[in-house]
Amino acid sequence: MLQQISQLAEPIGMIIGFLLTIMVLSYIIGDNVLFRLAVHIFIGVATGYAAVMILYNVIWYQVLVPVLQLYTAGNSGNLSMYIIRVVPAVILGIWMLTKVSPRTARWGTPVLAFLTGVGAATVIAGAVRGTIFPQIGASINLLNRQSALAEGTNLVGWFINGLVILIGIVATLIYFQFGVRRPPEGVAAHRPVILDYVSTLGEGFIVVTLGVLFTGVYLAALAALVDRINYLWNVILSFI
Amino acid sequence: MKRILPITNTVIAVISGVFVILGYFFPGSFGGIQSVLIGWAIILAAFALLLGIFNLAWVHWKKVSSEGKGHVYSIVLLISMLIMIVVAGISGPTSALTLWIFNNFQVPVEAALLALLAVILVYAGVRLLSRRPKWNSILFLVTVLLVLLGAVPLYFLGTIGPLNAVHDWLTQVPAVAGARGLLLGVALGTVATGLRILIGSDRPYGG
Amino acid sequence: MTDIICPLCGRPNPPDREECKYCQAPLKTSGFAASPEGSDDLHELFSTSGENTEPEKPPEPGASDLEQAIPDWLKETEASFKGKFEGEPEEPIPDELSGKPDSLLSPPSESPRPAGSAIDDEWLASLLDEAGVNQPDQATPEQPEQGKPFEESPEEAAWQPQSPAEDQIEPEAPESTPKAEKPLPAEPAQKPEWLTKLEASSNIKLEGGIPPAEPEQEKFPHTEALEEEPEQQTPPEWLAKSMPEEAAEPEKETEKKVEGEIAPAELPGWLEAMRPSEDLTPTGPVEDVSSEDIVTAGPLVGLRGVISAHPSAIKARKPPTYSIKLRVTDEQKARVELMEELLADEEKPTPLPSPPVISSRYIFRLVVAAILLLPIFWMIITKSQSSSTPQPGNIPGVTDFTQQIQHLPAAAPVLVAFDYEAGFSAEMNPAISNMLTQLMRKSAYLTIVTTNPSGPALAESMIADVYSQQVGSRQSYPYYADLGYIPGGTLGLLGLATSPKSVLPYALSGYNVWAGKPLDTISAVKDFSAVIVITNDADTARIWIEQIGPQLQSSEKPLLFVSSAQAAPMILPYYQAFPSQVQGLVAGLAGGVAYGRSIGNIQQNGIWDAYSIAVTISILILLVGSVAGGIVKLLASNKKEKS
Repeated sequence: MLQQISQLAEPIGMIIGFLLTIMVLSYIIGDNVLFRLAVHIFIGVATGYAAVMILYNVIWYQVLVPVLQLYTAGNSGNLSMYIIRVVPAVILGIWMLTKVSPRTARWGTPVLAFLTGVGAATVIAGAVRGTIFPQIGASINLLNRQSALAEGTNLVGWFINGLVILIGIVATLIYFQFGVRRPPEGVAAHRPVILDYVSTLGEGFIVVTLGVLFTGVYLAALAALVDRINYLWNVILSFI
Repeated sequence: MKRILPITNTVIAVISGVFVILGYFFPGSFGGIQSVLIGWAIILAAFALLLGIFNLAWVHWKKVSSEGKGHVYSIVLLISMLIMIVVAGISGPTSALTLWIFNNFQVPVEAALLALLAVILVYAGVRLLSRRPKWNSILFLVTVLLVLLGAVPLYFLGTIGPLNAVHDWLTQVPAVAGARGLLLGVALGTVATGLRILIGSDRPYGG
Repeated sequence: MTDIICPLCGRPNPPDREECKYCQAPLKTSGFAASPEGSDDLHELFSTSGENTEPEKPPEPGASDLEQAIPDWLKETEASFKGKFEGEPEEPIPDELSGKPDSLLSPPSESPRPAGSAIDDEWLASLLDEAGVNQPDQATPEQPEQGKPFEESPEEAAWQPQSPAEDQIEPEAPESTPKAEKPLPAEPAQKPEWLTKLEASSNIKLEGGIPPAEPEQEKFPHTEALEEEPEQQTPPEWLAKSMPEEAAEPEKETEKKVEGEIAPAELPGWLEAMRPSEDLTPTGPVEDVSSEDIVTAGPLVGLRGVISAHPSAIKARKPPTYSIKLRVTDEQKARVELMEELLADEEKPTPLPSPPVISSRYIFRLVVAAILLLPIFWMIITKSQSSSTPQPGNIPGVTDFTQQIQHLPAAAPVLVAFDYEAGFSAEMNPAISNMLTQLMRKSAYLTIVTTNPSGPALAESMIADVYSQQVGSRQSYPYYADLGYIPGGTLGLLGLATSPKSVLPYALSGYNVWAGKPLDTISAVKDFSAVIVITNDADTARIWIEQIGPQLQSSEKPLLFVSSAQAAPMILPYYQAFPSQVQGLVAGLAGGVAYGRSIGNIQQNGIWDAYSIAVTISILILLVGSVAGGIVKLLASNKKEKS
């Protein structure tokens, strides 16, 4: 019985996949009921799976299983660690549930403040250590001969490319600079003219970057389109 | 009380953030407390995600109970969520049944949605010049065409050397310059926003 | 002595007072005698002290209002003056009156006044002018030229009582007497102060200024009476006494005055225009109060038409009730209903016109989709495999990626992060499967983590599929541990970087993998041999690089990426940095296929030809469509400018 069910699972699954794919691709013709049904099924399945993952990975394995292990094993050493690492978090988590109701939402703000503070510190450190310092260093090393020798490329071409990248980085950063000095009364505030030109150059570099990004997105989507059509054809072939 | 609570919230945010940053600079002294705070934050993030999923279900439940417009879709959503929770909860998140539902429901729809994007993007690209015929639109379109020409070997023409060279130069020089500038700008903005939170001048948590 | 009636407030004042004791108006210049009974203002002001016993004659039919306002005694005076000059011999003036004071008399030149001569008194003349009284017997004297002192005309001189005439006093019209005898000032007649105040209080206003004396005989029928009166009236004693003393002076003073008089000013044109037309009759009072009772007490004594303050006058009665019902005609009702309908329609939301189901844009979109889909269908149906695959060296990062994995020791613990969405499976599956193949060949211990809730399911499916392909049967790869999902994004990665055991203590299978090999030697992420991140999102890649990258750099462990084509442009700066933060990169379907070639997996992906033709068709669509759209836009804008 189970074997029959498992044998039928694949074709049934293919039919379901086929139908759902058609329902979603029908949006090319226009918004319709089938498309909305397919999207709502997807949202339901995805959020249900996410909820299970959280319950398994966090609630079960990090909160409940250690308690059971402590109860069964009686290991007092881990108890202290558990009390320090898990119990306050669970209390804070339950405290955060006050955010559900608008009447009690105000009481859950300290928990969010804690999360915000920790998150802000984490991203600050990551941005400084992971992006700002290394990328500025990389920008400085664009015209570093050691890097050119390490790559083993043509020096002239390497130098020109490095120069272009350096100018592009500076111009891009200047494009995002919108502050001006306070002018005397009656005079309109305006950036220096040279900054306007450099900013336009930076805008050009950003446009090129966005063009490349757009191409990447389109290629990814095109691959998915080709794959879906291939899947549909395979399903049709499997039933013919 | 109304004044004490906001100050308390700010103090909590600042102190917790300071301890985490100190853990970066002095891992020996503050590494432990940093690890504890991060552990708490991870569990809290999980609770927050559960709260969000519960809120989604509650909203759709209210729609169904009030029989508002589109409540049929909400019924479908709630049923599929319930089935997935029950099946995955009982059999496990990586069980065969769970994976069967995942591979035959979630993956096809998600892939088809991305496939739909291809048609929409090419249509938007075609209409770009007719809507905004400016220099940056033209530059954008030219960049897209040049990158596409060198991205893959063309069906009728195969690999064309100059086109590949142009593609390589575009993606590795000006695009990298712009991307690096964007990354630096994002990082600087992130640092500025984070510092504002850590000094208490910005309170996104509603203190 | 009789009381003097104040010209302003109408109250009686003692005769010795110069100012009214109630309103402080000057009395001497007016010097009105109190009337025995209340009478109209004009009559009261012009009446003599107690001598005005003549009843008011009824107004002549057809007479103007001003004529009616002139009291009868004045008319009689005029008539007497006329009669006197017509035929009656002049009576000798008493001696006591020979020397008239200048204040009362105005001794003109000694030329006899001809009969019917003009009236000297300017005010009287002007008054009579306005009243339209004819003065047929009086010759109009020459109008005094502007700037020249007034020269008494022969008629005026004749009118002036010669020596006795000069002394004659006109007590009835005291204001007229001194002016009649005096040489008229050269300046244009100015309204006396009392007259101005009289105008202010009276209902009848004299229009314009009093013109210079133009003795028009037709207009002054009263001058005869006026002329006669001096003969009939005896001057008061005080006047008679003062006459001889000042007899000699007035002449000199008069002469001097004549010489020193201010020349009559030239009236400006607008003032001349304001001169009342002789044809116009002054308008009467707005409200005819002649029939109203005269107030006998209080500050408003003498006035007519005043609301009585007597309590009995105010009869408290219920105010009349008026119907609030509007009297609306049928036509008005119809208009009201129409208005209400219009207003009601304003509140109703007008339904938007439904867009046409089939429009040009819709058809264009279908055409674009068909042009894109049909070749793909054709390639897949025909299973074409003619297109060449990209070379690994042509795609940056592929070679480095391959080498990094090749340099891994056997059975090395490798952290693999499945952080991509299920929808990108088609694009990334070739690269993932090739990577897993390469790792499985090395028996690398795969530690699966993910910051995406759907990651574990994707990982399980991929590992099972790849391993099944390798071994030829559906089996599970033995050397891997699926640690599951890390919530918190950045926070979770920091926790993973510093203490992965506390963050993920158990695998999804429920086993404590950290207790056994090879993960027992792992205390931090830097202890892994390599970290491979599979992601489709640039932000996820950046977070991994920022949180995990510094840890790995310190231990010189490679951080490798398998990414979608959409995230590759944002990972390249990290890959191209010196020192590099990303040691290997396989991006997109092309990268995956190239990577497969690099590890010897030359198995053609069935979708590569379709993918290739789709890209080619897309280029053509973009090129042709953009150019055509640009041309159409240009033509349309030119048309707009021309129109």
